[in-house]
Amino acid sequence: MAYRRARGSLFTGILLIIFGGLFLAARLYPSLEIGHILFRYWPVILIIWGVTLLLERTVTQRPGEVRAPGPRGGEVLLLLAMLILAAGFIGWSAFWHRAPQWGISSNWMRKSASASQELQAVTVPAGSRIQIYTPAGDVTVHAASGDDLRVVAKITAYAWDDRGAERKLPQINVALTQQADGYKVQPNMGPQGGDAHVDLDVEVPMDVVINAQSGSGDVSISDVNGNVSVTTYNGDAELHNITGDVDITSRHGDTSVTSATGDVRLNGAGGEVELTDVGGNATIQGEFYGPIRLKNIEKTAHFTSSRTDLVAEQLTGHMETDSGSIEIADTGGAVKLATREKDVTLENIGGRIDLSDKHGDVDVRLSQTPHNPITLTNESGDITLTLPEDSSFTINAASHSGDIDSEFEGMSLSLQKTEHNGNLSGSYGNGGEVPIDLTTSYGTISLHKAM
Amino acid sequence: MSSSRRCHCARCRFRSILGPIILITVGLLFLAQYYTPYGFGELWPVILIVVGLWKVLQSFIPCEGHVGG
Repeated sequence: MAYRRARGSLFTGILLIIFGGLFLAARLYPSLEIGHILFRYWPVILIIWGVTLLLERTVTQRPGEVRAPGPRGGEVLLLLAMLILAAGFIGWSAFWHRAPQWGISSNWMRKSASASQELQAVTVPAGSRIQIYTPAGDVTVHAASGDDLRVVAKITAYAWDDRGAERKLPQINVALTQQADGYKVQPNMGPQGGDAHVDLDVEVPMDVVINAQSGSGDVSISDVNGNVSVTTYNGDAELHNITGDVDITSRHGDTSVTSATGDVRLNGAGGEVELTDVGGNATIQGEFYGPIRLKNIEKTAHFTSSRTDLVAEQLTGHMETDSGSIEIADTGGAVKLATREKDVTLENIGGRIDLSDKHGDVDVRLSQTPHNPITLTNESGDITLTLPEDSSFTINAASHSGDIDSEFEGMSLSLQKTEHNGNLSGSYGNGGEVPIDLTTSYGTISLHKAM
Repeated sequence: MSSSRRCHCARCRFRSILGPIILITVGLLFLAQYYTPYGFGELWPVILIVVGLWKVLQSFIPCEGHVGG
């Protein structure tokens, strides 16, 4: 080699830290799409590469040392290796995300033995708290008339050979223990722990409070007349017909709640979310890659993620959002939404509208004349507002580096266009007390009359 | 790498601690499953980060008195 072997490359170190951090973040927050991040920010790697080459030249080089002027073969190879690892990582995650649908489980090579255990039924007073926990396996809770708590467990032990599985099976059993305020259902996983699934099928009286948790498996609860809290890690939560509040913490799976009379709170991360017919507030907080569907929320719907902050009052219609769009239709009250990189569609909002977006198009359609202020702010995106012809309002619309088209015209509306900017201000209709503020940059503002 | 065995400059000595560091990290990551909700399956990228930090530090350590290539 014509150049001295350089020691300790700064760039390879930084590259390892960056990719290590990305993989770690993606493992801990499964909703993070590192493919998207790489696709968008790959030029940053080039910049860091250049900066480290400069640094090595001046700071870390030892006197008299000559170094190859360009990128080194080792650095190129490591970068390629990291990109291949990232592709593999994304493929692997996508595979395991879909694997259950194809009937593949992580135990597919293992042998299993299973048995069913039915516990002695106990009588529980109304209002008791029933705690149900399984480290792996599905939890099914359904309420029936009567005062009995009945538990049927299906225990499946896994091992590399049949004999190992059969030996492990009798060591695992489910215990029902009485507590100060109710009962606790929990399997005893035996001295070796782990490597077993315990599905719990629990029949409870109507009037109980339920705390259910599964480390890996689905939780489904129906017809309970009391508050319900659910924690899932690697599984779905499905709740139906709950008379009370619902509290769900999720890490990976899908969530569905239909018909709950109280508030519904969902925290954590996961995939699809569907909340339908909620009598109270619906609050979703966390990273769910969606789609998220809310339907008929009588009070206020809150949705908070790293990209979106939404408050929709009396969401009697629906809200649907996925990675690139958010759609809200038919609310009795106000909508306040701040988001980015999403196309936003709002339809028939009954209260004031306060919306800000970035890098997405905004489309607001009202079939009733507006009576509340409308504020739409966008960056690098279009704004389209459709109002009934007989609306009256005071408008202030500005498009920086963009255009304005308006189907509303009149003496008291003034439209100014320069080469780069558009401005529309004034009032329309009689009275015109409803303020409408539209601001965007690098986008067109269009005002349409509703058909 | 063969010549670094003979060299005792700070950088070459630092280079030799990678093996033990990785062993310690792997050990800690496997233990983590008993104390945190995360196991080795989630935390393995920490190894990449540790090696990266080691590489970065290494390039800032002086190599005065370095012998060999």
